[in-house]
This record gives sequence, structure tokens and C-alpha cells, in this order.
Amino acid sequence: MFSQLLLNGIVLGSGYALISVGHTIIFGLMRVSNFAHGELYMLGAYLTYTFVNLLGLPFYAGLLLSLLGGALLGYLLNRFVFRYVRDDSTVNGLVTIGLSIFLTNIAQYLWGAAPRSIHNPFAGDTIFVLGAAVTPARFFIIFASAAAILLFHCLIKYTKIGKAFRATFQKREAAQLVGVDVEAIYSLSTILGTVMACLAGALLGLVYSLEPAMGMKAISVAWAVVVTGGAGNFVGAISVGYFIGIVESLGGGYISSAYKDAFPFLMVVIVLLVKPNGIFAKSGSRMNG
Amino acid sequence: MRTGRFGHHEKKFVCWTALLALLPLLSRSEYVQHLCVTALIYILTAQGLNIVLGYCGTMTLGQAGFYAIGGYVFAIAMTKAGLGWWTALLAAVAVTTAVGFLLGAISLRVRGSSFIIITILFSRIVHMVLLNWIEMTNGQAGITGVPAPVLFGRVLTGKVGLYYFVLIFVVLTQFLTGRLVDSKIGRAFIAVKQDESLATSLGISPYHFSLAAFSISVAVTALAGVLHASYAQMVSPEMAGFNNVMLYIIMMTVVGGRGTLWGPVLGAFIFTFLPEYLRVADTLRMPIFGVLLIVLVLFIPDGLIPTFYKALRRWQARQRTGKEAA
Repeated sequence: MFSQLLLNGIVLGSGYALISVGHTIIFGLMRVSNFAHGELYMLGAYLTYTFVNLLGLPFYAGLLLSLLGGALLGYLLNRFVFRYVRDDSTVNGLVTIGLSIFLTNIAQYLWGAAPRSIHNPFAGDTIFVLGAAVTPARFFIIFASAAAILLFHCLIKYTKIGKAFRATFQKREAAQLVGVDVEAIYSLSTILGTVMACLAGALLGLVYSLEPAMGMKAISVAWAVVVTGGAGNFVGAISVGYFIGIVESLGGGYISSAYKDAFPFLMVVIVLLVKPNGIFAKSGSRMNG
Repeated sequence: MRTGRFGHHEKKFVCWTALLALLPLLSRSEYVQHLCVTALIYILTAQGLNIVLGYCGTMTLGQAGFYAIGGYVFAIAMTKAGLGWWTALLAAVAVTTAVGFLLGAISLRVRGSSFIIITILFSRIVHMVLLNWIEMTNGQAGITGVPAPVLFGRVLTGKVGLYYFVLIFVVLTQFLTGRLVDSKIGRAFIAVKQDESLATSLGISPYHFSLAAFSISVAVTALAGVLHASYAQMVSPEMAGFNNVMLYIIMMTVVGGRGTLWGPVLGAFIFTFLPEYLRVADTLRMPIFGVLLIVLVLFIPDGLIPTFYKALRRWQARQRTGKEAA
């Protein structure tokens, strides 16, 4: 049972890591408390569902289309909402809360409240690794998230845009002084963040059921991860994301399934008692919204 | 808030209190009266949020959790422990405030978005516990048969009587909040809200004052929970829900006017009556709320009452310059 729970935890953690990286980009770079981030995750799942189940497209095409849809959504979000409310935490929090409610209910209106699931496109046998049943879908999720994260890492570290991104991240005004188009970077960050969330939704949608309210859980975890790992801290978001997936799975299996949502909360409280700025944050950096 | 003109603050207080006192007499419909009582109880929740958000600048999304805890402790104290009404009230407020204080003490080290998340997670935990700790809370079904308030030996059952009973609490809370805001503590809250670094340099610790504001707001919210429990005569886990409680509290405070004494009152009435009129478009009610929140925060960020006063002052100024030019 342990290895099965661990595997499920890694699968869950992959999704959480993706969502959290997206969230920490938007929050860390633009200081936007995007409470609608969970809904972006939800939309990624539902878009894939629409393309694959309802329109009958092959899985990879459907996935790609939902990611493109996510990118468009991210662009629009930045252009019409975030642009006006950056840096003011209370205002952008309230606006994104409103957005979150709107999106959740639109999703309910469009797709109905009954749980759905995405057609599993992976024909193939389950292989057993150390007693855990690794279905092809689960394998794909782990692999695809790792690939996405790696891709993101390479983008940030080895490309020119990545450099501009890092510069804006570190010191916005200085980046502007050396000619970085900060607005474009903001646009790019929102798009990246949104695409990550959508990918997470599409991937986890392969093994978990879809409901309009699924974003609520996602955003709670994303926030817990970002708070624990440090705002804007990618290493933190990734590692804490995987960690919390594993903890939730193991805790749910061994301790209590009803209270498994309590684990992110406990984690946050414990970390805050010990390291108020997040586990990975450099000392002295405040995490005020 | 004091404007420097003597009696202005008191005049407003008397006007609003008189308005609230006359309200239930305007309609004979029991349904409208029910809405009025509900709105009164929500004034307390909105004012609670207003104290910590509007005056102290700390955003929190966990009020529903404390509302639920207050209600449940009261319900359990009365139905299971057999305490009297007023003892149960005190117990509920005390316990909830203690929990709030503990939460704030741990979490207010990181204000801003991180703190908001913790309050959200806290509310979710409360909801979870209320659903699952069946021996104490009865789970999904909630606790029923919570006794109505007893005043001078008489059980209050009529809507109008209950309205005035709750009104006493509301007026008291408004009065105390007004005094709080005008006191040194209140001024410290506002200092923390406006400029933390400056406040710190003056010896005002943002952490301690935010904690104080938070605890006070929890106490007020707990009171609201108790009154709800006694009025509705039941408590259910939905009291800790985001969509049916917390969201309304946010909108009441934000739309009514943060940082004003009577904004939450206006907001509470608007958002108790408005959903009833929106019942026609029931499925669209929530998306409308979402859009409404976005639009209002973007265009009237201060809320209705401050915007009204700003417009009033501009009009008065124009009148004055008009007279001078003539």
C-alpha cells in the first residue's frame, strides 16, 4: 500500500508543482494575488474534456488546444485585469476572487455540476513497480509535468527572454532602465503561469474527476505551497508542491481520508512558526502581499 | 469618523440608529422582517471584517470560520452542556476569540497575501471539522433546537421582538466600534494600515495592533454567529462556507465602505435584500455577484459611503465657490 500511495502522491505532487510554479510566477513577479488561479487549472481540465470527450479529438491535439486556449486566456487576463491592479494586494485579491466566482459558475453553467472525467487515451498495460500499479496515464502525468518544469527551467536560464524575465523579477526598475520591455514580460509571465495551471488541470484530469469547484482545492494548495516555499521561489514551489502531494496521499491513506485537506494547513502553520518567510526564502526578504 | 465639527459624529449615530429602529415598522410582511433581522446579524459580521480590514488594513477571508465556531459553541453549550443563554453567549465569544487570537498570533507574522491564505485554509478546516466530527457537531445535519433568546423570562419569538433584541447588540457594537476608532488604539490601527514602516518608527508594532484588531473582529463575528444560532434556532456546517457566508461579508464591507462606521450597515442591508430580488435569475446569481465584485472594486474601491461623502464634499465645495463668485 505504501508504494501505491507514494506513487499517487507523486502524481498529485506533479500537478501541484505545476500549479504552484504558475502561481508563484504571477504572485512573485507581479504581486498579483491571483485567487482565480485554481479556476485556470479547472478550465484547463474542462477545455481538454471538451476537445477530447465532446469533440472527439485525439488526446494530444486536445491537450495542445487547451494549452493554447490557456495561453490566450492568460494574455487576456493580463491585458484586461492584472494590468490595472498590480501591486495592490487587497484590490487585486478582491478582483480575482470575483473572477474566481464568475469562472466557477460559468463552468457550472457550461458543463453542468455533475462530475466528469477525461477519456483515458492510453491503451497499454499497467506495469507494477515495487508493488505500485503504474498505469500509462499516471506515468504520462509524471513525465509530462517533469518535462514542462524542465522546459520552463531551460527557458528561464538559457534564453534571452529568460534573462529579461529574471531581471524584471529581481528589480523591475533596473530592468526597465536597461531596456527590458516590462509589459511584455508581464504578459509572458501571466501566459506561462496560466499554461502551467491548465496543463496541471488537463493532466490531473486524467486520473481525478472534474467538477466546477475543483479550483478551490487547487488554489488552496497553490497558496500553501507558495507561502511555504517562498513567493517567487521556483525551487520552493516545485519541491514543496511534490512534497505536499506525497504528504496528502500518505496522510489520506494512513491517517484519515476525511481530513486530508488539513495537511496543507498544518504544513503552512508549522513552517510559519519556524521560518516566516518560507523555507527557501533568503533571510530578510519580506513576504507581504 | 470625526470630522472636527462638534456633534457631527453623534448626529450620524442618532440618525442611523433611528432609521434602524423604525425599519421593522415599515413592513407588515414577516418575510421582510426576517430579512431585516438577518441583515442586522450580518451587520455584525461586516463590521467585524471592517475593523480588521477597513481600519487596520489586514485582509482576512476566515470570518466565516469564526462565525461558524461562535454559532456552534453556543449551540453545543446550550443543547449539550445545558448552559443558560447569556452564559453560552459569553462562552461562545470567549472560545472563538481565543481561537482567533491563537491563529492570529501565529499567522500575523506574515501579513498580506500569506496571511489571507492561512485564514482561507483555516475556514476550510473549520468546515471540514464541522462536517466530520459527528459526535459533537452532528455532521452535515447540524445542530437543531437551539433555544431562542430569553429576555426577562420571556422567550422571544416574534420577528419584531427579535429584531429589536438584535438591534441592541448592533447599536452597542456600533457605539463601541466608534469609540474604538476614535481612541488611541483606533488611531494606531489606522497608522498601521496607512504606512507600516512609519508606524513602526513611531513605536506602533504592526504585529501587535493587527493582532488586536483581528481578535476584536473575531469576537464581533462570534457574536454574530451566536445571534444567528439563536435566531435561526439551528447551526449547520454551511456557516463556514465561502460562497454562502464569506463572500457576502466581503461584499458588504467592501461595497458599503471600508473604514467607515456605517458602511457595513449599508452593505449588510444591500446584500441581504439584493439576493432576494435576484432570485429571478437564480443560476446567474453567483456569476453576477462575481462580476459585481470585480466592477465595484475597480470603480468604487472605497465603497458607497465614502464615495457618497466625497461627492457630497465636492458638491458643497462647488456651492461655496459659486457663492463667492456671485
